[in-house]
Amino acid sequence: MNAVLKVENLSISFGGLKAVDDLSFEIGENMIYGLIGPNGAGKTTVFNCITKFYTPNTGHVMFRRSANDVVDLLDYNVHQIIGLGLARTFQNVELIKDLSIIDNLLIGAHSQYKTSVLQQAFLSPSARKEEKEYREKAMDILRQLGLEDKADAIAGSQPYGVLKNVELARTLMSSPKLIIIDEPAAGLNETETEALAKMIKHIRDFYHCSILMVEHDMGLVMSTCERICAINFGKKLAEGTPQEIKNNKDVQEAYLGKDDDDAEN
Amino acid sequence: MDLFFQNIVGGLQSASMYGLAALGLVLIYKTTGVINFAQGELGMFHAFIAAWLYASGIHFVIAIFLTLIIAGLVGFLIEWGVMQHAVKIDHLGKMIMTMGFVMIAQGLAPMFFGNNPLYFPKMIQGDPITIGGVSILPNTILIIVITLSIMGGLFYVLQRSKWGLAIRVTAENIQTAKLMGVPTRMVSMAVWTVGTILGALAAIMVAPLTTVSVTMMADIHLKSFISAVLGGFATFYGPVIGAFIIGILNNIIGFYISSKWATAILYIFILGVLIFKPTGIFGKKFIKKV
Amino acid sequence: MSIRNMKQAQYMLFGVIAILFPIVTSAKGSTITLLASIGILSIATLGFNVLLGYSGQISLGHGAFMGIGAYVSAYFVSQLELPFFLALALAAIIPFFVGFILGLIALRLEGHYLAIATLGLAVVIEEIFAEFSGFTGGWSGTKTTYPTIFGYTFDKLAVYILIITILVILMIVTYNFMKSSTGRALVAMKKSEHAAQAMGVSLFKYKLLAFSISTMYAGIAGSLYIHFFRFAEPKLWGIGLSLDLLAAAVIGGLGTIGGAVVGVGFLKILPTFLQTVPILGDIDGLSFVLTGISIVIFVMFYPKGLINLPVDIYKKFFSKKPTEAEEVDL
Repeated sequence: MNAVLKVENLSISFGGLKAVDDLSFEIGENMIYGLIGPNGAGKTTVFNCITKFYTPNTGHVMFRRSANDVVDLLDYNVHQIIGLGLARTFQNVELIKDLSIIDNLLIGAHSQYKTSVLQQAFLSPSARKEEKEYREKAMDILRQLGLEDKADAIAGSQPYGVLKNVELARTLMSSPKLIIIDEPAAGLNETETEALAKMIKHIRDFYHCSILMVEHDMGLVMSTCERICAINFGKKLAEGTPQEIKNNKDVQEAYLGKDDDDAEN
Repeated sequence: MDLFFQNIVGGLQSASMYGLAALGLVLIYKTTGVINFAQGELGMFHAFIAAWLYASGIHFVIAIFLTLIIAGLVGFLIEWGVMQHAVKIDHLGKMIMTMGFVMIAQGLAPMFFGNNPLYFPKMIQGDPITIGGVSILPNTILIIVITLSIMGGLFYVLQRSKWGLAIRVTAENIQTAKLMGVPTRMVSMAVWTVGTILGALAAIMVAPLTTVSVTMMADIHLKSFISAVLGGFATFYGPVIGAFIIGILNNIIGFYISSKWATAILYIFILGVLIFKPTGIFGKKFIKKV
Repeated sequence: MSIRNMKQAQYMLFGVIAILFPIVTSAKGSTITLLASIGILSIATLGFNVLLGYSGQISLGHGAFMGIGAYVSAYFVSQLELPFFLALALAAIIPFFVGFILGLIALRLEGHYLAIATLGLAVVIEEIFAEFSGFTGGWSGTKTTYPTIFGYTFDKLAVYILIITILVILMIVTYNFMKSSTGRALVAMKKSEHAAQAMGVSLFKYKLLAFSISTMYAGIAGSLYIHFFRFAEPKLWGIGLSLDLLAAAVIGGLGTIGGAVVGVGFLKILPTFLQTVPILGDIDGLSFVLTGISIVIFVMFYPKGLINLPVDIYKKFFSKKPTEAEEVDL
């Protein structure tokens, strides 16, 4: 398997507490991958380490930007990550509430803009062309996700479910190779979660990218992920196919046992 | 050499005033997250009150005490009447509000007390006494002693009393403090009250040296900020130690290089600190939760 | 007509009205002076708004940057006898770079550090201006002339028209880059630093950009100031002026373009109005107090600012549609 992301021996401590302990896992091309674990297992911390919001103490995060170009994300600053081809969402949906949906999407393309302030200030032809191109791209993506009629709506006026989809749409603006989603099913009911599962698969197929999902909801994970890594207390419990994970004793002990009805799905 | 020590003593006096103001600043900042930019102007306003009371015939010691009580009241009212209702406003907005207070104080002073500078006497009159070859005014000794006592007292309260604990916990993490049942609202009111009193005291101390005017606190105000930046906003004692360094530097630079340029040189110095150790001598870096 | 074209037309219409007003009403010299002051401060406030309203940073030193622009401009016109527009360009560029350097030092930490660093600048700048008397004329101030452009020497009214023209150009230019990726990055940075970083916005770079742009506008305003009033002294550029800009931005409407003009208008007209009122007019410092109170009230209760007042009043009393969350009017 040609890996698009390889996490190697990742560790980070806060004060005396080891939040992530020598974690390694691998995500393939065009793959939906799940990172699961009980509350406090360290999933979001791993997430933040990969995207450089935290700086890990040890390890490497090897990322394949293109066929022959592999870089270690830990060599870069947080704001450079998206330019390398890795886009993320936030658990709390960090959209700009005062701006319209389409403006929020355009921010997602920020790393791709090439024109300077000066060119934009004086409406140079290249600035206008660039803006037009990305506006069209944004509308295309909204159409793909069934949101085109909301393009000009103010983000703050939209319900939570819509905003989660908009955040997902925003990641596509930078044409990423890997999208990392932080608890996409949080706050959604069963119907919405099913629709989300469909959308995630569609994104993988249509936009040819990999998706790393950090998630709690076993139903969503089992029905969409091709491979899963389960962690607890910052350490890896198991890595494998959904079936393998489901049957793994350590994983079951860690928390599947508590949600018997979810394990049935 | 005697002249050098003379400047050290003078520097201690300066440090006292910067330190009181800086302590007031960091007390409010660490517990409520607000940088009170109006600290200096409020002090100026209170100095006017003291001078006016004195000019009306009240004994200056009583004038000082009355003013400090009024200052406490003003600080309390600002927190209770305004800041408390602004909880939903972000830190930026609150900073802007304190700048509004600056304008209000700058406007109220001439409104109540006229445009002319007022006179306020030193707390102790008297000729300089000589200790170990150094000539010091009794007033200077008094200022330093009072300041050290107050700071000592405050730090004792902070470290040893229940109230001090409440303040420190709130300063560390206000959410946790609330969950622990700490009366954070009362802590806010307490620090605004104490902070404003400290600012007023600093102004009263400088009043005899510069006369009471609208611009009297500008220099001290800036230097109290410089002290806080030097010492770092992370601890209560940091800005105070910063104040002592800045105070002594201020007088040494003022004497050996130029008193006109002391402020400018200290400003460049603090820009240097911002380049090399931005969080200050005692600063700590925080990792923000994402 | 696209929204952008409508906005451009709006600003130009405002400019035309502002220019015609004193002509049509045969306004007195003092009225033109008042209007010119409003124009000049609006330019500085416009830049200040980019810094505070869009990027969420506070500066207490913009008065100093206006001063730098003023002295630079006066020096190059009066001492070096360079053409006015070159002096104006330098009055824009030099404050840009001074701001850039100060920003490099002070912008790496939280916002209050920039406020403190610029406070320091405001306090020491008076002494610095006084000291470089060869350049600034020292305490006695410096004089200069009305601009001469293409051999034609302006008079008071002509300078006023120049001020308004530059104001309108800057309003349009600001609107343009605020509505593009740069502007969106600034807004994102103010509202959510995490989201901005994840989207590729380098916080430091954009804070630096916003600060330098704002000091540049202040420099331009300073140049226009000294060429209208033909005199400046060190006392003008201290913290009082910086607080005025802050008040104007907050009261007019943070994060808006028209708000700069509305806020400055309020600030300048208030004292003039108070003077006409019998008892209140005699009270010193009243306009300061009222302005300060206005800042507090607007921050707490109406952060959208005066410029959004007509729209909100209309909606409340005349519109039948249910109110939704509204985009802040630019």
